[in-house]
Amino acid sequence: MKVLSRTSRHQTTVEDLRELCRKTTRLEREKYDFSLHPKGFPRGVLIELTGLGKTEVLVQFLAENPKLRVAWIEESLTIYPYAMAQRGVSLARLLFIEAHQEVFWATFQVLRSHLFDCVVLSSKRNFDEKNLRRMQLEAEKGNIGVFLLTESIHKAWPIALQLKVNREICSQGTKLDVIRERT
Amino acid sequence: MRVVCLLFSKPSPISEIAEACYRWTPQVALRSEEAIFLEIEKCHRLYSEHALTLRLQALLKRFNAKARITIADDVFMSLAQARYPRSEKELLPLEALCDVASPFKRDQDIEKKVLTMIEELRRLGLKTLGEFIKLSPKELSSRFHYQSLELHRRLYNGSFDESLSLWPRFIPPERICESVSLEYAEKCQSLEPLLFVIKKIVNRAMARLTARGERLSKASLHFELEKLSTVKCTRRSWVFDLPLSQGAVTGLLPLIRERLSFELERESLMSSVERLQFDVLETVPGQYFQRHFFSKKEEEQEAWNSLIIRLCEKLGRKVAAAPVPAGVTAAPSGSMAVRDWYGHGEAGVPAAFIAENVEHYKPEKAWRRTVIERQSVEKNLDIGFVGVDIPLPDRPLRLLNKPELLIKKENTLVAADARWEILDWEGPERLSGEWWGEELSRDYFRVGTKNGEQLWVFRVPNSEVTSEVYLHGYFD
Repeated sequence: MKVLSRTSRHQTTVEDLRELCRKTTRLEREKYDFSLHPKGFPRGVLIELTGLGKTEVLVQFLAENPKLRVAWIEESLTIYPYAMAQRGVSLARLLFIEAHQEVFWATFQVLRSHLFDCVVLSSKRNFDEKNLRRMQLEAEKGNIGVFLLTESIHKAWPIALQLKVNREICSQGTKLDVIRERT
Repeated sequence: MRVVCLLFSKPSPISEIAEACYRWTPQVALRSEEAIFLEIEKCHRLYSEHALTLRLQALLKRFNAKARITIADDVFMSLAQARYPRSEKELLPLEALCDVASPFKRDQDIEKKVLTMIEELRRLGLKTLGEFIKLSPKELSSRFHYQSLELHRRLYNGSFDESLSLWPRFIPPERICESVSLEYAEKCQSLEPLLFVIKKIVNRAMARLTARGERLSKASLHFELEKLSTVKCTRRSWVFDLPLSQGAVTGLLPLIRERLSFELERESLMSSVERLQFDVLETVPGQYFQRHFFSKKEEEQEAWNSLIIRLCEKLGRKVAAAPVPAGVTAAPSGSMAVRDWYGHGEAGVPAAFIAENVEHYKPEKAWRRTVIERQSVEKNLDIGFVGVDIPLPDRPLRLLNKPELLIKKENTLVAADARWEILDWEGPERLSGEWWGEELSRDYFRVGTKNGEQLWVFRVPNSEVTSEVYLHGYFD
């Protein structure tokens, strides 16, 4: 209504209208705050973390966001829940899934349930583009952040944010390098 | 008093439907395999009569039954109106007096007397109950038996009996068992058409469970196959032992689909299914079965349970067959109830679980797997941090299933398929177990390597072979 009244009164140009459309249609994604990545992690996208210290970074992120409900999916369980509790993550909000060959099936089940804010998929296998695209759609639909913990960076377009963890040995600090960011 | 009457024209599972009606009122009565009565006067704040009628229609659809539903101020009037649909009770035919005389059961003696009276009334030119009510009680007593006076009193005063305790007691069937026989044209061998039928019977069983205020924890499904000379076993059965209880068909059906598709792939049906049966074997009290209008907790609970059950069902089989993982070997005997999750006789561990810390010196035994309901998870979240409060050195986030032997050669650690150049050693942290329990003695070190990896290794103190080191985890 406002737009119509404005156009009729002030003879708005096409450029003005385009700008107005841009403003109204631009979707600002919700973000999870994280001290190591000041921009925050966007929700509803696939985020890939790689490099030595990736699990430490993710666990720190979970500790900093204590309200998130998380599903942690692995082929064969290697994560040590006791250590997570030590780093301040409440185990009660984590569902661990040991999926063996059915990693994707389990991931889709979890994403479709809409019960979790975050899904962590830690796998040594290569993710094919088709499955990543399906995951991306489900993540977007449920506004769920999907974290992929991988050994090396994938060249796959459905992944919105790719980060490499650099553990600085001398200072015992950790740095995140953005490999790719698609907004 | 407000009474709902469901009058069935065809033979129907009346007891089962009556049981499912418990969700609306505890006051339920039956009329000898013909009608169900529900007293709803005190429930007017919970639902409207119109809403109840719609819900009853939906229930009847579930049970594949048809009934005429009427609501009146009396038991007999609700029954009479259901049998002879008229807008006003005065317009009901004289035959309705049989229902007025004995609403809860068919009594042949009373019916005979009433029918004789109806014939005489017809001879006098009376046709409707309205005309019967207009008669003077004095005239009735002189012409007919005392029953006519009682009938007149009931119709005139408009009440059968004030006391509900005189309603015949309805005892629901002890076991919940739903079955369906398939017609010749309906018989099928493949899964998809069978699932349509399974959904129907599970839906009925769930409706009855909900009415009882219970949730399903164990059930069985049976197929009876067509008897052909080539078919050796004409009965196939599956037991569904659920790690978390289920209260809705939406959560249970994917599980049944998964299991059957897996089983039928292994061994397909040799002939068409003639009959299906779903038995409820175990139930648990359904504390949260009443849905909250402003909260989605119940829906979330159902979704959570359904997810865990599906994951455990599909992935659990593999867990049982796979090498035992870290946390599982860790679970001290008796700390986690290892049970037969799938009814296959496989003692498996849950593939989807919540981890819980356990007080134990051995790192791999410091946690265990638990399967808990969403409500319990919420409670734990409210409490806040659930974990250890003893200050211990950091544990690695990745722990190996089994410690791996490394050989230390000067400044290098060598494994079967990798080698690390050591930069620094941090430690030791000595862990030792009780002499009366599992004896254990390990010196743990955090090792920084040249390529940036940080390892968690241990050495057995006083060991003869000093070069032997065990890799137990990574600080990934």
